[in-house]
Amino acid sequence: MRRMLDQLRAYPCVDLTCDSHLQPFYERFGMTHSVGMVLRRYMKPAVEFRRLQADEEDAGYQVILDTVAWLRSRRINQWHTPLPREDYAGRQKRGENFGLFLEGMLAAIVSLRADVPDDWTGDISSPNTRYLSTLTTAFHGRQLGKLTIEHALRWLADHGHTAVYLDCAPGFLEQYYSSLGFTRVRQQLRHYSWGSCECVLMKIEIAK
Amino acid sequence: MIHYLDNTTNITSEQLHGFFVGWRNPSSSEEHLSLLRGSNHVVLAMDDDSGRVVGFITAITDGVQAAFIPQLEVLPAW
Repeated sequence: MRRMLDQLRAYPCVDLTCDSHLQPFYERFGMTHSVGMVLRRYMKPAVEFRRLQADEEDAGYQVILDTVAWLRSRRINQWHTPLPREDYAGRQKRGENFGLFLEGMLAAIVSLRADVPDDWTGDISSPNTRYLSTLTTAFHGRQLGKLTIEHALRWLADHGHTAVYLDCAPGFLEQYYSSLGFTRVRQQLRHYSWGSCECVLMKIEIAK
Repeated sequence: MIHYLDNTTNITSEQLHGFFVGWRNPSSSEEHLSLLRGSNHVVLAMDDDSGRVVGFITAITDGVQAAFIPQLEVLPAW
């Protein structure tokens, strides 16, 4: 450092940035504390919620496949068949597939849909609402679902939406979404290719 | 013994190993040599016994007013 400062003796300004624990070292050469700004292009944001790009669609769908396999391996009676690939592709084309990224890694996906399943069309009317579905996390037990919902609601509020709907099974999942601020609209029997189940439509108003 | 150089004229990438300790994506020896050559000023600490570089510092300048020191690193053993 001494030799370098000797080489640079003609320059009135000599700057560097360093971690704070190294500042005492540089003070020995007469340097003083300053405030700096840096851009580090290799650093990914800690948390990022955004639309999935075209080349991320496969990774998004893989989260669904992994979760269906995980649920099956534990004989958990939910999501009997994965969402058809073409349905996910259709949402991707419409810009409805989103991802939560933690330090650049896809940690959860969710679809924010403009359309509504036929069973609920009579319950949802306003064009400023979105229907949230396919919330799926790549890891378990880290409150990623809650984090994804929070970011999705913020994104929707920023984009002029006023309410969000979703449906889920009564019981545990209804309690879960209630704890996140959703309220029950009504319950009905819904019919799927694999059978029928009771579903609860839930709603949350989002404030700008 | 250590001696110091203020240029990279006779330095090869083979003399540059073990730097960028703790970096997630450390630069290769070739990239290291390239950034040394691309700097306006360097000081290299050379180990006489091994002929290896054991420390380096770089500076880039506008030639008149300002100089910036991007990197200073000494091999942990030194």
